[in-house]
Amino acid sequence: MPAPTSTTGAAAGSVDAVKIYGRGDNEVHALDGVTVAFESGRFTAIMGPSGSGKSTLMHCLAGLDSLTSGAVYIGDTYLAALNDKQLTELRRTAVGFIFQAYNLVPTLTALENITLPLMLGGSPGDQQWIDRVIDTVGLRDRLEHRPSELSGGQQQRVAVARAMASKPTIIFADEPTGNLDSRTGAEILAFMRVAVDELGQTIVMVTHDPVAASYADRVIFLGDGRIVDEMLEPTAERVLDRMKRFGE
Amino acid sequence: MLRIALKGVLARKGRLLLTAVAIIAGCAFLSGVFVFSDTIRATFDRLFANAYASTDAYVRSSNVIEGDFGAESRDRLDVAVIDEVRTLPGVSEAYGDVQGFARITTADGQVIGQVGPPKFGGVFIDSSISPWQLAEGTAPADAGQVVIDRRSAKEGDIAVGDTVSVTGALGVRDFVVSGIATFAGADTAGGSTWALFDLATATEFVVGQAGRVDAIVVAGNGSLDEVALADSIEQAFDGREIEVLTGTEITEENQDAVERGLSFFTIFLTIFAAISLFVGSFIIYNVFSISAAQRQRENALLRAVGASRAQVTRMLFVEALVVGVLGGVLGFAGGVLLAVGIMRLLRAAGLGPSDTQLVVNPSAFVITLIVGVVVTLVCAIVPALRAGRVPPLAAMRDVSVDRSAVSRGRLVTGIVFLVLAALGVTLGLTGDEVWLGLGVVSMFVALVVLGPLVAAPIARGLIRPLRAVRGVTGEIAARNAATSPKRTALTAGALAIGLALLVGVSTLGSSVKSSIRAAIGETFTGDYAVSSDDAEGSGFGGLPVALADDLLALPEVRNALGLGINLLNIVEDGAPAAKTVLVVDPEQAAAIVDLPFTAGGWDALDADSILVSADKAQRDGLQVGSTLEVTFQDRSERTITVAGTFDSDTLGNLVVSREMFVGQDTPQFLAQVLVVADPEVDPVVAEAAIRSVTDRYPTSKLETREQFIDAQTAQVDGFLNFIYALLLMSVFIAVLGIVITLLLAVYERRRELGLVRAIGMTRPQVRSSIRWEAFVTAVLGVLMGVVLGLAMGWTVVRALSDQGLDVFSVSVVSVAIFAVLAIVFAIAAAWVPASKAAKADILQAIATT
Repeated sequence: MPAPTSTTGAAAGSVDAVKIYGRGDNEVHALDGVTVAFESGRFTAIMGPSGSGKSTLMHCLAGLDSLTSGAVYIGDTYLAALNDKQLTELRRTAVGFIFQAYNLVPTLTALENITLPLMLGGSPGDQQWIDRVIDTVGLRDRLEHRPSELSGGQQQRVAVARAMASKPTIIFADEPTGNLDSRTGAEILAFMRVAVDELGQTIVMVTHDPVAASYADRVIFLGDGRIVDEMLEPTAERVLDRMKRFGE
Repeated sequence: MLRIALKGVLARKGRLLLTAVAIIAGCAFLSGVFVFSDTIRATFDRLFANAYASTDAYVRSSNVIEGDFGAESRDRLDVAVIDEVRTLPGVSEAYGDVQGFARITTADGQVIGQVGPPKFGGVFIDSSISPWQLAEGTAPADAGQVVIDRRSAKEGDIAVGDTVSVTGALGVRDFVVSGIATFAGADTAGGSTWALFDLATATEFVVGQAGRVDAIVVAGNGSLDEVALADSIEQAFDGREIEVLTGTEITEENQDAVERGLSFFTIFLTIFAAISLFVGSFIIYNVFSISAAQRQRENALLRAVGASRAQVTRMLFVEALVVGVLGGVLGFAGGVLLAVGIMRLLRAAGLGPSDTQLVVNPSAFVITLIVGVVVTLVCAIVPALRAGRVPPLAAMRDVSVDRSAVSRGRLVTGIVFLVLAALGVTLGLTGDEVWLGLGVVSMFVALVVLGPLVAAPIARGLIRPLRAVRGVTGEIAARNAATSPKRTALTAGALAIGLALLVGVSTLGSSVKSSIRAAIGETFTGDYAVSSDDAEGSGFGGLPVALADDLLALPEVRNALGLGINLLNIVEDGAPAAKTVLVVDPEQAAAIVDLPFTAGGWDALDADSILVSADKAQRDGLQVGSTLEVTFQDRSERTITVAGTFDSDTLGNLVVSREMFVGQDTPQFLAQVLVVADPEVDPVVAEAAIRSVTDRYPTSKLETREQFIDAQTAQVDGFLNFIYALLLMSVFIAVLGIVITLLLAVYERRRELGLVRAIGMTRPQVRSSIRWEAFVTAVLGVLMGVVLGLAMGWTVVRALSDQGLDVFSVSVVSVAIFAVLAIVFAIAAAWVPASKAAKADILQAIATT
């Protein structure tokens, strides 16, 4: 394993990450040597066409999947060295997740869903911080509701709040607005922006929506398992233009 | 449509098998009972066919008093009749036969057969017509010789020429083994031990009536067929009390007797198999319901593309049919294995017939299959209809887990059945007992209907304690259980029924024991009880009357009361009917038994009078001074007077004095002797003196009052354990139900499980949340089961209070053990779904498809 080039200041990243599915003729290189670092306090979007490896990269970064070779790290921790229990604890304490759907445990209230990672760890968490998070996403009057009693947008806000509850090193969001209409989607993205700007969170978001990507500070483009481009201060138009070139 | 249905079934083989498991277990029990009883029946049929293979005619006395429960007392024939039979035309050979208890002990003191098979004594018939043929040695030549069966010889390593001691009804004697015999080629007849003597020794030593035989077996010379031979013998004895059966008839009579006992046993076991199937039907219904709910989208899609309601419904029925057939067939196979296993076990324990050959009747298979299919189809009716009712639009919606709240209608129905249960029990206890059935059935229905109503509150009530103990995993577990109250309640309901029966039976048993204790304590004031040692299943005769007299003769003994049982023909409504009477010495009885007399007393009891229980006296309109006509076995008649009435159940309904039978031919035996030691004598000395007498009577067993009471209640315990074992299958199926329901829940919640794993739930935490969900379900089942079981137990005990069951007692220890075991089993069984849940693939679960 080559020594990591520079991890200083990065919340997470990968070094020459390779992920191969299948064997022989069926071999698929989902990740083909990805080296990337995600700086703390920044909002990064990962884009790319279907099959470009963006979800795989996120899963490997988050410790949900393992690499064939290379390394991924969160903070100062290299994930390859961890066993399942340690990985789980890492996800609980250092990682926040926002998925496209099925984000919440249906039997628990909104508040319990938000604090679930903390409860799993058996710690009450930082109450002041949690209050701030709840106020940020505007859920104060919905805390005792069950997911089935919340709208899609409200459910996603609960998911955002949960992702932040444990003050994680990094938050991964997988198409967080994919199931929402554009207005509600914009609302969620605005919350995520606030989380980075005002609460100092670090977010990595996988998306295929140029508008969503425009909320980020930086966009990384993946194609065939490799980083093919990068864009700072993106706008929806520029991202769309870049995406169109994948089709050529 | 059938093809789609079958494809659906095949695509879910695992689930198919899972669904079938509940029905397999019930069917296995049922077919196991069939195969077992068929095999035992065939074994005994063969045994008796062999025993009378060469018998053409069977001569015995026609003088018989038939009592209750198939008990009968048949007169014996004089040995002189044998010679008369021999001279009759068509007769080639005739031999006297007796059968009684005989226990063989080797010179080293080893008891052959231990506490196991019946131990018989009989006549060795030295002829080719006997099923017993010598394998070694010679027939018994005199009163000092015996022939034993080859199995006993093998067990005790006994050779021809060895000396063994044999215990008969009347004593112990040493015999030299003159020969070792086989029964129709097998080592012994039906696994029992046999000591065979010459005729004179057998009549005198085995049955205690020298010169009298039970029957005469006759072989013809071939000139007459067996019917003609039997007829001609009967005619020769015309006017005498002798009846003649053909060889076929006596074979059938014995086979029928076994069949009667066996069919009672079979029905008894079948009831428990039915209970297992009933419990299993809860599980099957639940699985079909969950399965239909989980496939709502798929069914809606079929509806959307043009399938009719009926077609969707039929699809589920096809699946149920496949499950039913699978369950029936595999269950039958399991039943055969079960039967084989039980027979192996019995053989290893030295119980039951040893030479069994497995009998598998086609009818057993057909019945099992039909039961399996019908139960499964019935369980599928409601889920299938519900599946058909799914609107095509549901295809567009998300998979909806059944989270329907409980309806008002359910509450009303439940309360109606609760009222019916209370009404039925009240009416049943105060008036007609038929109402009790309604009451108990309503209890069950109320449990099933109200289950979901109590499930959610109870599960929610457990949230707080579980959170305190197990943190968030415990809370999630309780919440999950509370989310689908119908499902949780049905799963718990299956466990509740199994447990309710256990608790009900234990309560009944505990009440019986307490009643026995109270009854014996009240009436039996003796220090010791001498009983017939039934441990080897002797069951013949009892203790000689002389034992009571010998004990009374001891200076250390103040009182000794022999309790005998006899049959007496009492004329009731113009016809004589055989009644069981207790025979006592009134003088001793008065000193020992504190009988609560309502009129008259012991001192009025003599040879021509009788004591009647107050219940019977009231039923028959008898009072002190009333007269009864009785007939004895020797046909003599007498008019007796009612000398007293008593209010107690311990001594039965009728008590007479031993004087009544003086001069009668029928042998008198005692079932028990109650002894009171002289209070002036040191108890140790008294007991030694008593033991010196009882040691002379080898079939007797001396117990102190406490030991005696314990032994009486221990019989109840033995029976209870047997029933517990039979109910275990139901509990097993119920626990299986928890596993199956949880497996389906894990499948249903796979996304949720993936999510919580992703956000930081460890595998042990996932496992623990599933286990605690099983815990919540089990607690619910236990609560419902214990309440229902106590209610049932109370009802039955109260209903039987006029049968002497006057104490209601709950064995708290047993109930606690059942409850804890049920919960522990459930948690242990949840290991399967728990590890399945822990293995959930996170990436697959969160993948958005």
